[in-house]
Amino acid sequence: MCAERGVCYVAYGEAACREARLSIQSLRLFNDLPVTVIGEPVTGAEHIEFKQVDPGGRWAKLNVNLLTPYKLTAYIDADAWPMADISAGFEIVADGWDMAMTASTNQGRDLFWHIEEKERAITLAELSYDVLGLQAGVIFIGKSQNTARLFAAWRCEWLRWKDQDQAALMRALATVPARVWMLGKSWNGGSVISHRWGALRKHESPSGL
Amino acid sequence: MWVQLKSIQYLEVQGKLVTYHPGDWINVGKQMAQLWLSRGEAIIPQREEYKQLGISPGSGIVLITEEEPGKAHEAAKKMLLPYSGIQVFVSIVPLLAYDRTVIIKSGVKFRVDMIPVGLSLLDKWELAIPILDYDNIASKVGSQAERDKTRELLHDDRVPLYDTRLMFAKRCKNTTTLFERWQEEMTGGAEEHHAFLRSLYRTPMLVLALPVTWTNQNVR
Repeated sequence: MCAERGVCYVAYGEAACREARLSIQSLRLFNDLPVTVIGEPVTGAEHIEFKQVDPGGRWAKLNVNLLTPYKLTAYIDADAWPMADISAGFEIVADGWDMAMTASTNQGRDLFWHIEEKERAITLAELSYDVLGLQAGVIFIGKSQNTARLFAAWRCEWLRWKDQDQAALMRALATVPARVWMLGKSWNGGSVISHRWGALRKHESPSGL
Repeated sequence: MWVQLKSIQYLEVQGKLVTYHPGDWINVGKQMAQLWLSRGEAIIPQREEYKQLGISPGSGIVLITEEEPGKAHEAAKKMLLPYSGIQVFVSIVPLLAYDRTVIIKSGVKFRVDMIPVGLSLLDKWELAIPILDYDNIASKVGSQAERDKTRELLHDDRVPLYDTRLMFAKRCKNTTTLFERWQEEMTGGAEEHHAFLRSLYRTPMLVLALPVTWTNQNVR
């Protein structure tokens, strides 16, 4: 039977598995939630095997809505550490929102700073308006038609370059809208969930985050 | 420099001749790009096209002001010169007067050419509204009583507020309910931004959060 609420991570390789293990330890200090790791096994969590198709494990992340064993899922990047009770995120999707996530710290000129030049240029041209960049490192996800459609569109968009996932998400949202509740920065890179950006990333961001 | 081709081009890549077709994106030197651009053989990514957009039928502007309606109409006409055909309704409270309504509060700074852009977002979304501020979140704004009320309903008040001075709303069941709830809260004396945030939370809908640049604010 499918558990009501739980946390999913994606981890492939030694560094990501180490980060996920530490994140799970931190999560458990403040939350009593089942945890599943997609990819490789990590001590203290359920495991779902899923073939790695890209170095960053993004294909697995983009399939999290299909793979998750939970009705309400918190997807958390392996290098993000819960530092507090995260139940509010679940309550938001339980109250009827499809997803809850934060805006990216990098907006305006810094938007999509980590996206390769070609994908960035084409994304900005296709969106054609000043868009609010979203940060997909922490997402609370409900099971709904909207999320199913959005994740499907996100996968299609990601397949165009098979690189980072943020620009692909913004392109997907432009065609397949969803009821997205905006959380504050505390939820991704703040006091609720800290994010060790850089722990698994090759570049530094303009904002230092 | 990235350009999108409008013509067939043959380029040497690592000693091999490669054919590029119209629609392909290629990264070429500035001189080559400028030559193609001048000949109309390529285009660069740009955001100018929206300026040419017309206003969707059934769209209109609700101008929120306490000014005398005649004067407000005159000011609106001046501001909306590029879209002289658009209907304007002057009101002291936000309301959904049209199938697609742009709510503009007197005094807000915004780019007029974004009006058709915002209206076109309503093809997919029920509401499009900018974030008020990235750092000045609900837990930092308003009285303690307002913040407590917001936190109790939303389960967490460390969330951004919305800039209610500019929004694009499609007339539908969700937005109608949202506006009713918002007005009900406002009539009860609630702080405007908290009232809107709580009303929105109670009415899950397809809302597109826009960046602060929509109301001419700095990015950070």
